Amino acid sequence: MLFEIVLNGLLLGGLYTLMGTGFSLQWGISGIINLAYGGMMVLGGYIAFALHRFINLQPIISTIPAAIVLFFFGLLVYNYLLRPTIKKGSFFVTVIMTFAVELVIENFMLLVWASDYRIITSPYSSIGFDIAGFHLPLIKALIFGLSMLCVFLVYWFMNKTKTGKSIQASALNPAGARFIGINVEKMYMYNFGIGCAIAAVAGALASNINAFSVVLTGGLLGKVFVITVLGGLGNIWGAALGGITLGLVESIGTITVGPEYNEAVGLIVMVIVLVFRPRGLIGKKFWDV
Amino acid sequence: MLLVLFLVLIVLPFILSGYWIRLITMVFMFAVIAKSIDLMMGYLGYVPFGNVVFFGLGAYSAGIGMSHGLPFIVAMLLGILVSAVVCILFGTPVLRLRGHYFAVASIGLNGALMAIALNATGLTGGAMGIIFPVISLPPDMINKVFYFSMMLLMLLAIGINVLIIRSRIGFAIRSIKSNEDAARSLGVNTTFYKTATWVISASLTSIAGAVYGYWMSYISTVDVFNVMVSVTSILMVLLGGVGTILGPILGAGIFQVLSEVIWSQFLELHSGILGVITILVILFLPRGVLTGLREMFQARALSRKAVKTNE
Amino acid sequence: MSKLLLEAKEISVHFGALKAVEKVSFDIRQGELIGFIGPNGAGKTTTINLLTGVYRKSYGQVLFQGNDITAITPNQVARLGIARTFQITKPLVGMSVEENVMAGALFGTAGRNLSVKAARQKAAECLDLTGMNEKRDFPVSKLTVPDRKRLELARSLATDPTLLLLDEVMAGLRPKEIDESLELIKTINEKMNITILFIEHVMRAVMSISQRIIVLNTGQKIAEGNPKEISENPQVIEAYLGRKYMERRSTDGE
Repeated sequence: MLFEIVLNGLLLGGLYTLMGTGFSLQWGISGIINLAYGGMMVLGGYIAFALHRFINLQPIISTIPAAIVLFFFGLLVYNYLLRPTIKKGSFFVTVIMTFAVELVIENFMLLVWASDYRIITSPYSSIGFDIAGFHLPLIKALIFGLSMLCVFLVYWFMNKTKTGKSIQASALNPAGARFIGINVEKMYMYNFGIGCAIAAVAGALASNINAFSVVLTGGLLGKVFVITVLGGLGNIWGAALGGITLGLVESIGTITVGPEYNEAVGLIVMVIVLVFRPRGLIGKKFWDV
Repeated sequence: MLLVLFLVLIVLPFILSGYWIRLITMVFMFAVIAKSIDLMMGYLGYVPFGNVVFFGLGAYSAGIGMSHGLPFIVAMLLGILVSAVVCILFGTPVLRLRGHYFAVASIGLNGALMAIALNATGLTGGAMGIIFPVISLPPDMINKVFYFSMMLLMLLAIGINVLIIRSRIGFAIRSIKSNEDAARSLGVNTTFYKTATWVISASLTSIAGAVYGYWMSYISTVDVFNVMVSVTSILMVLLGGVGTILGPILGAGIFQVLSEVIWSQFLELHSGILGVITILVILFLPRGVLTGLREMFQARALSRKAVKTNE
Repeated sequence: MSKLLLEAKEISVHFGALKAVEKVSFDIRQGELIGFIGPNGAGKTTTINLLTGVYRKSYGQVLFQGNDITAITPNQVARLGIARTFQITKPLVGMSVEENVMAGALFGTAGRNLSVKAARQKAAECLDLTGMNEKRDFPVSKLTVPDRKRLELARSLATDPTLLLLDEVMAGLRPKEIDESLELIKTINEKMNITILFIEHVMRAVMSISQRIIVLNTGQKIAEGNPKEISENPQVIEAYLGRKYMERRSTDGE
């Protein structure tokens, strides 16, 4: 029984880590609390769903176009909406701007898909393994694996490629980065786009096991806050720690107090962490691994 | 000129229909919420995205209190007490941190309390909400009563605002916003003043929540702990002018009217249009309508002067 | 000898592995005018931060008028009567010059009893003393650097301090302004009876008005004495000019 709880928690944690990574990237490097993150995740889910429905694209493969669409969407949003706002006003006005974007995304989704719940069912939805007397659905393992793969790709990109390192440099020392010829603004823009793409992938993957709808965006945003606060900002390890912790907490919560309380438990944990250790478990300032 | 406006407002409920009276009452209510938020945002520099939590606490305290037989005023005061306690418990550690954390934490606070209200079914009725005692008055009397109640509350908020600006607490708040280290080196107990400001902000919002509950006769967690309420209130502050006395009120007015128009004409595009308007306001009127207008007049006056001297 | 005002007993603060200030001890007596010098990075500002409670984690003990103030917060320190200026000035942006000084009056030692009106009065006195009266309605953003320093001084005076800690108030001033500043510091010390510890790099200023000088280098106190003693102290010379210079001096003879 314990094994099942822990395993479920870890599998969920993988997805949560991916979720947290994108949000944390945007906050830690581009300095933006993206209130549209929840909406972007669900949008990613819808795109994957639509592709699966209409051109029968394998659900796992469909995460790629979802990511691409949201990447470019993120670039546009950053370039035309966020950058001018950052220049003009305070940090909070920028956050409101992301809220406005969220409103538009939500309305768009409402128009196209209404608020019905959707879920992607695919050939592998029903395959499972039996391990130690517990049934492990293949799809959950796949999602965990893909999430981890994605996180690893991001890590590799940020630390081993020129663009990735430029992005980090722009965050750590914008003046210095400019001095050596890095277009800092562009880096922030790419970073934001990547964060949006990650949101889309997370949403698209999640849509395979969870029913989703526009209604869920607030709750998803809340979860992502919890993950980020728990683990600390701007840090893959932080997102991982936060993600896995939340996964475990929810897994335990589902068994002990019931699934309806899950959101409350997560939020309460976040509030407690904020009060006693606001930097999160391993909060560092920037994208530091 | 303000006096004229004031007199007009007093006379209005006797000429307008119930729909308009209720609309204006809503404007007053949002004006109060917006002003409370501006106290934190415009003067202290901390943006409480989750301030709606006090609206909810006020509404629920009033509801629970009244269902146990307490008179409204007492139940409302109970709401203020609960809100103040939450501010002190939560604010003292979290206000020590930078604004970012406070903003996010306040959303978390609201979410947590909403979840608790939702689940503590014995106390709060859970998802079914709370029903307030019925007021035995004819409907248009009720409209008028709440119109004037909310208006009174708004005047109270304005009064508190003016008092604060001119007083020592006003200096404390402004110096904290300007340069917290310097303020501290001068002897300002920053944690105390930040928390105190939040308590005032919370109390006003809490009263608004209590009155709202009594007015609507029914509340549920989804309405009164709705983060949209505080976020749109922040928008109203931005729209009308941050850190000004009348700005938030103006913003509330414009926003509510716009919202009603959009709701009635373009129901399906409601949130989308709101989003687009927000985007436009932020991009083109970043300091709000009031400040924008003021600057426009100043610019025109200056150019007129220039023309005159050239002649 | 006059009363002991402040005692610093082996105060230290570490930033990670860096021992920014290490076991520094000194006393300040009522009415003294003490210069606080040392090469850049010696830890002078850090010491002032230590005394005023800026760091949460520090070692050693600080006594003020006999009371242990090691663990108290900066605003409590200010309330007790220790005021300080900042090396890089921190004016209250968005408020006028007058309002800046009023803030000092309202929250300083006597602040609790002052009305806003009385605070305005006190601010006027401090502005007069520092020659900033004409600019009292100026927004802070309009001030030149010397004016900002004067504002910082006026503001800290408004808190009615017993002990004033100045951090490089003369940096960037022209010779005439330095002379004015010196006069002002002497006036504050002698006429207003405020004890002063001032960090300064302008040597002629320190030498001319200090009664006593404390010297810091790489976080440790290396010398203490009157101006003449300090100017002849080999360790001080070495700290500023380097060991090679010292050696050259001794082989060349005086």
